[in-house]
Amino acid sequence: MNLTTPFSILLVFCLAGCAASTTSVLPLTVDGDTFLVSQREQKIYDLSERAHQTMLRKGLLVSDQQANAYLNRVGSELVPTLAGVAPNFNFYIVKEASVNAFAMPNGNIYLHVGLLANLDNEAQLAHVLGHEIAHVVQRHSYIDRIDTHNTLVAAHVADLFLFGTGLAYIPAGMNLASYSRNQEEESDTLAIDYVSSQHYDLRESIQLFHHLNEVKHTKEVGSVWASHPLSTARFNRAAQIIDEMQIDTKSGVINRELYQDFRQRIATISIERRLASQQFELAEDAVMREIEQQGNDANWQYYLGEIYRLRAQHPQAAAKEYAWLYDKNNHKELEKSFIDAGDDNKKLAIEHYQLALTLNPLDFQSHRGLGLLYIYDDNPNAAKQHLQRYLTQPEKPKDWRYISSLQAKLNKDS
Amino acid sequence: MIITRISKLLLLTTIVFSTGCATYTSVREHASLAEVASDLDSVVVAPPQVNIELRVFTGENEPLTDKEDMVRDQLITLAEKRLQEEGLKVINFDFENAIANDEDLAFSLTQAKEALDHAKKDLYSGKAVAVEDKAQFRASLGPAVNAIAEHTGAETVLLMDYYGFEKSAGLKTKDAAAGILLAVLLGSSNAAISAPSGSFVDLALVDTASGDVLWTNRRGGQAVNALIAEHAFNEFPDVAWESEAVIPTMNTGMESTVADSENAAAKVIPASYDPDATTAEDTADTKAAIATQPINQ
Repeated sequence: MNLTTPFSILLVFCLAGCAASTTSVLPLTVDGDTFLVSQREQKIYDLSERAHQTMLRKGLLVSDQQANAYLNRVGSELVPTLAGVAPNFNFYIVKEASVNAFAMPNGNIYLHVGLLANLDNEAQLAHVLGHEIAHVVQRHSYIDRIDTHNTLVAAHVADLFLFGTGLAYIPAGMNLASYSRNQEEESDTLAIDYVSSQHYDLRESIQLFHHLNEVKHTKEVGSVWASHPLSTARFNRAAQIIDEMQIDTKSGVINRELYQDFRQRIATISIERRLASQQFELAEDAVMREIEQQGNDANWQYYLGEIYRLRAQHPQAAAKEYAWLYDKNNHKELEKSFIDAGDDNKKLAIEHYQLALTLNPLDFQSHRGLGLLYIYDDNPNAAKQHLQRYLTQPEKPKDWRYISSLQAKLNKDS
Repeated sequence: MIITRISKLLLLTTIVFSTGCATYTSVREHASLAEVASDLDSVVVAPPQVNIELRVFTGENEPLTDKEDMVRDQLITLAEKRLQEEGLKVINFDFENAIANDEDLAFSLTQAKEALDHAKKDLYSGKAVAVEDKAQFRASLGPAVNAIAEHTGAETVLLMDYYGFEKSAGLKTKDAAAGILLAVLLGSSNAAISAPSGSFVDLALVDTASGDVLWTNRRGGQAVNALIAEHAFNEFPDVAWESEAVIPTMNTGMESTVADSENAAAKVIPASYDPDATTAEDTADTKAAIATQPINQ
């Protein structure tokens, strides 16, 4: 028996009595007389500000002035004319590697470095920004809040009659998840409108969906680019809208070079965040993308060395990531295959570090990588040599205490 | 007769439970803690991460900011007092001001906390740990905490993570009503009602050079205050820190501490390097989490 069906009926029944209307929530572009910030909306503005302050306090926002100025210039130009007491729009870069972006109802829009690293040009960036701006303009968070409120109140009522078993929350959860689809489609439609108003090449909007579809990001929690509708469907829909709008797609602004200058400033953050999360395959994808975009250099070879070294040292984490990316359940078997590949990974790591040092003999970070690898490989003499080389660079590295502690352990051991 | 049998049964249950429960612990200590402690004399208390919310009937849960501030202050005061009592020199450092002016330090603290979260997944994964096995771990955060040492000069850092909740009157009423309805349905005289509030704390003392997690403990409770941290501190390791090590002086026979001695030996960085043990690790300056495996596995 499908348990959720009767509960869903009960919910619908309850909702009929409890629901507050969301149809009266007008977009920010409608005349100011009809737009008033309610107490509840003010509350979500306050929560947004609190979330922003938390991100600041955690150092999660990129402070690069040039990068921020560029992003704010592109974003501000896309904001439609607003009415009444609409919030100001601000754009921020978050040090997060997942392919995601989000908008706060107070007009703050956040783009993860992982998403920015995956875009090719300014026209694609404009579509992403337009999409997020549309969420704010349409007051989706507020509408969502009302919907959530109604659904949860109904679920509580249902739960009461089910003696607090919690079962009533199952259909509530399903109901909550289904709300966002229409909002996302609406945002996609409006994004095309905003982007075309700034004369961007709309073929890049379509390309964006193709492009994001190729990225292994679909498992990342909260990724707006994966939640629904599937990218293929979104691609078809975008193409249809453009066709209906009879927009000339043959010319338009792309600004590839300007965008590449911008993304180069933040590219390594994404790779380092992936490595910190033990996402080796996703880090490798990110490095390969940089090599494709910027060409080969010592820095990218160093990161490849890091990826192979960490894979060798952490087969359990590598297996976990693989299972997560490809929906595999046989963790033990996967782990064994990564353990078996340990020697190959070590060899590859050494090759990449050495290539980095060939490309740039002063690439001290590769000495660090080699030192750590040789510790793991039980070769203390080689480890000591490379770690010492790392520590002798002109500027004291930030992690000199950690490296010194490893040296001390090696010395004590020998 | 019946009362006697019930009493015996209760006594038996208590014995079984107490013998069973007393064997396990939530404490995790680094295998070389006792050895490295003699080289460590100072600690700084990092700003605790405190999240306390009011759970309401409508689902629009609210952060209880005043309570968060209060618990944060309580935790810092308690931690400094207890660490001082344990013999460590507590370094006072204005993190709030430093973080506001230094994005890198703010991000370093975030990375340290992320690295600790990673390490805890290993430290607290799998089977329960018997008291006699609590000091067999080798978790490390790698270089993630080096920036804290750079800014504060402290040799160890205490990281704290606190979560608490309180339920609104409406939600408590709903829980009570649901519990009573269930009891009536089952014909029971006891109604099971879920807790109206709760809290959980995680504490970790970390070596700021090696990143080794020297000691960690966690506690949960019903009251939303710093009391659970007090309980967690009750299991702080009884080791001799450098600051409390006592050495006899040559001529007078009087005693002085190593820390006071001008001739105090240069610090020796942690010993017992074991290349076979999985060590916590790094990359560049962001790489955080590292594997944590009890050495006996």
